[in-house]
Amino acid sequence: MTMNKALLPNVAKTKLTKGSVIVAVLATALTGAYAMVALTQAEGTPAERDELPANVRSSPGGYRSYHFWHSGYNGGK
Amino acid sequence: MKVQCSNCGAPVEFRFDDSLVRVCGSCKSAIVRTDRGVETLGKMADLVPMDSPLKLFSDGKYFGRGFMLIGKAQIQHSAGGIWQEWYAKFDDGRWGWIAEHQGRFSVSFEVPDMQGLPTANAINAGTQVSVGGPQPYTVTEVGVAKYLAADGELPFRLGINESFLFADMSDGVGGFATLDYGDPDQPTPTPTMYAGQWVALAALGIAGGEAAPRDATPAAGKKLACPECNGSIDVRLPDASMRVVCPYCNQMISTENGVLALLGMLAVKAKPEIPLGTRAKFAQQPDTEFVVVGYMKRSAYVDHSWYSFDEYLLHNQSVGFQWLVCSDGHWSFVQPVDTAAITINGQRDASYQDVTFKAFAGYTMRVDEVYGEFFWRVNAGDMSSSVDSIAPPAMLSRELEGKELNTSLATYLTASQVRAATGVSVVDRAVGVAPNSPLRLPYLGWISALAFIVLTATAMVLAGRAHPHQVLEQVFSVPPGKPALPPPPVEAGFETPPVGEEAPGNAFFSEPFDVKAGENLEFTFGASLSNSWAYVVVDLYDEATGQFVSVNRELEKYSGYEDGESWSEGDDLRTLYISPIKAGNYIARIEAIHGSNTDISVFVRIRQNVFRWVNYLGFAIALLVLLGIAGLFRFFHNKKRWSNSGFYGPPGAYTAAEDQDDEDDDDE
Repeated sequence: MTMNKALLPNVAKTKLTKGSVIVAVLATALTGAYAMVALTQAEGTPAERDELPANVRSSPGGYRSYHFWHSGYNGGK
Repeated sequence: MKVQCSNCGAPVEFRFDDSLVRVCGSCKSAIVRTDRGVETLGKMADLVPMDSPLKLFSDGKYFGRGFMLIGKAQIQHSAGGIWQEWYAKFDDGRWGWIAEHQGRFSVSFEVPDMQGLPTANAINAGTQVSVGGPQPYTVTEVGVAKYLAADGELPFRLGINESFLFADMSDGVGGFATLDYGDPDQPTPTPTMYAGQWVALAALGIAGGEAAPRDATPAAGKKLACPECNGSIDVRLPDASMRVVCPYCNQMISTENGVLALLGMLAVKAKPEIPLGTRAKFAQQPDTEFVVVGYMKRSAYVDHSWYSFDEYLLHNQSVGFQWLVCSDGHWSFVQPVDTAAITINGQRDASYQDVTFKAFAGYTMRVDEVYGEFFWRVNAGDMSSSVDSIAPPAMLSRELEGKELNTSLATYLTASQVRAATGVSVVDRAVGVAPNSPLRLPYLGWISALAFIVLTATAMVLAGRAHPHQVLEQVFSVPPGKPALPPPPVEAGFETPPVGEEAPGNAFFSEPFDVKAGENLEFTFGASLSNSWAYVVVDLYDEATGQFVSVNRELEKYSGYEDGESWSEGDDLRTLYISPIKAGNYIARIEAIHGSNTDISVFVRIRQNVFRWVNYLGFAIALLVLLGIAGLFRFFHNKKRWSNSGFYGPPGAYTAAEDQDDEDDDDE
């Protein structure tokens, strides 16, 4: 036996709004970005990359005799 | 059994041995069987034309048992409404009652010798009555009604125009019961109980039966002439309407029992935004087309002022009456709910269909303007009280008028949804936040929890997979002074560098080591410093390609004693991380200078595949900021909603208790 539906109308379900979708997308993007960073072990700290000139590499003593041109740190108290 | 009508002599047939009264088809006299033969109870009034899908002598089934509708009575509520009761003779010999009012049907049977039922004095709307079943009944209405007219055979001695006191009850899960106390002036202490179920018409499988009497042919609509101005009034529900307002002269007209009577001119002429007669379909009942048949402007007494809102009465033949309400430009589709299906939690909160509705406000309500037609004796100035509880976008309203407790479920609609439903270009003029305005950013809690769970789970899995391994650890002694820089090869064309004061000796080369691809590198620099500084550069040189990667760190450590306190600052041990570099065989060139006058020890360690919790922390904070901003947005929206909450007494009855209520709400 079916009860008269008009007597027990259903409570409207809360629907996702645009705002919730935007927050969910941003949260997913952040979580995804973290997963990418953690997986690739990428770091924000840049490391200088360079190449030793070919003439240095081929010269006697090679890189061992070549002085890298670090400007150096002359600080401290 | 065939007898002759004691009034007109026409043959009258009692089809069943246990039917008591038969209405004579010729003269409408009620013929009652007695031990001494037949008597007449008097002439019945003509049936009020009422549209009904049920017909006399129709067959049907209820829980597999067949029945025939062999009699019916029309009963008028003391508030004016008329409903029909049909008397069903079942195949197993029982009598059943099928009540029909406003598109709703209930089937019930007499429950003989029911003990422990409440007396008439002890029963009110909202009273719970337990009769031993799994669910107690809740009284939805205590009222007085009288028999107006009847037809066919009846299983009881019906007294025309005899009033009786009744209490309607339901159990919230489809159960229905009525207590009949008889004479309202001298109610019996042992009421008769009729119990059964609310049912859908289709489930009764009604078929066959006599054609409806000619004067009871359903009327799709009628035109009436206003007794005051003779204006033509469209009456869309001539069977059900009891009040009609003349659109020309604004007279309230009673249409009870087909007799027009002027009830007085209304002070204000209502101007509904949605015209009467408009047809509408709502998403909540997409297969049901409603007609707007009435309009009321009502007011709620809130915080010492009356705030008006609009109510449109909607009608559909199958589902009866429902409402479309507009308050401060916020629309709601309102459906009646079985009061017994509501559970009151504590003082004010309610739950329905496992959804908790938080108590929002209680007010006194007043009818201000009326327009169109209504199925009850409405009038401007009518008062009632109501308590609203919310679970946005839904709202439960429990409205008490006299001894009748009506519960309804409102579902929020946007103006564009109302436009789509009605085809009327209602203006979007929503102000503020309605009690049942949809939540801003719903499911934020779930989104937050899920995001943090995924973030943390990712971190934990990757932390478990990361196995740090050392590729270099070296300690060496660095003499004071700046390094002596040999001249570069002439052909390189570099400018001649300055020559240092000290001899070379502060650049060191490691043994070759392997660096793996896809793994970050952690550099740890340390120096034995005392009130001095050091600067360390590590160049990872790939012998195969000539490429190198260079990192550096400055270290310093100072301490002292000043003004009775010792102090220290700086770090002589620091770490930095770089992203993975190309795999290969590398040599580390480590160069250091420092400010000490003596040799210092410099420590360098390189590790790979080190899990970085700090990255997790950074992203967790970013997520927290995002969700925190969203949460604040939602919080302030909800705060605006609840700023309208409150429980107010009737006008002029402001008490200290009201202040207490307000404080309670603030606490929430």
